[in-house]
Amino acid sequence: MKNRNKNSKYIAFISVLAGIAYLYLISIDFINDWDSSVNSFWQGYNASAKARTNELKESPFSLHLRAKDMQHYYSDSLMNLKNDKYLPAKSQQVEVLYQFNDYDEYRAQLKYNTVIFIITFVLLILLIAVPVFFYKIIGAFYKNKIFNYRNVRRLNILGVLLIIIFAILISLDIIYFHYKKSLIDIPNYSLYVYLSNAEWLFMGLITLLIASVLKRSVEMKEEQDLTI
Amino acid sequence: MAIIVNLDVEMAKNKISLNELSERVGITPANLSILKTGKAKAIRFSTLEAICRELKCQPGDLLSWVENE
Repeated sequence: MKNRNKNSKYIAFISVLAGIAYLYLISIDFINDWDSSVNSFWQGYNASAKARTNELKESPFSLHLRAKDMQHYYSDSLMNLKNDKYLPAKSQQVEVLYQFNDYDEYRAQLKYNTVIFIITFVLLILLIAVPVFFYKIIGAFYKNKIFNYRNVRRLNILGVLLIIIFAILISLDIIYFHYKKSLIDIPNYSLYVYLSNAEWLFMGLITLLIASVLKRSVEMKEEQDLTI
Repeated sequence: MAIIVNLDVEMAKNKISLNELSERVGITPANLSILKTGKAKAIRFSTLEAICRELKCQPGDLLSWVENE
């Protein structure tokens, strides 16, 4: 009994840590690019004000650049105040402010924003569903109801959700890349798709693996329970 | 391949009830019922030995193999 209480406390402790880790995972990009997030907010706010005065709008874009040849690898320079010398610098990720040429172009961006909004909305629902399923599983573990098919099903759903989140994030990266490529072309540099978020795929696959291990454990427990 | 448990036949031969046999063997009536209805996945040698002792029979009298169609 004492051992069981200790185990329940351990599960509770791990689940709290997992919750913190999840919050960290979903907010880390936002925190790292805080100034960019604030800038995007004000750009959106100003765009709505400009819409009232029929001014042409601007939109910030984050670009990932790859030098077409080594000659243009260090195309920029930065001043080093320690020795007053210039350091050759490569622009790998830059943020640019794009001004739309005409209203047709701007309307195309509205269509793009609508698609992104719908995908992001689906993503938001999935990001909420993940901790819900996770805490259902942890709750069952806490009550010592570990080896049953309900937990296997929950783990399978959780794994699939994580893989869908990965697929959505990758599609957002690709859609964003193609949209930027249709508007922007930089001399001596090519834009590339910045594929990230592989951790979601890894977590999804690990979860599916744990689900299959738990399924085998449930079968073994049933066998054990039916040994007379 | 299927293993058929003939416990009910041996119990009838010995005119013994499920509850009485479970008391004598030292397992619960629920578990003995699982064994009798063929839902059991495995049987321990100690259980088999106790049942054979109480029903005065051989393991082969309790278990038989039939080929699945």
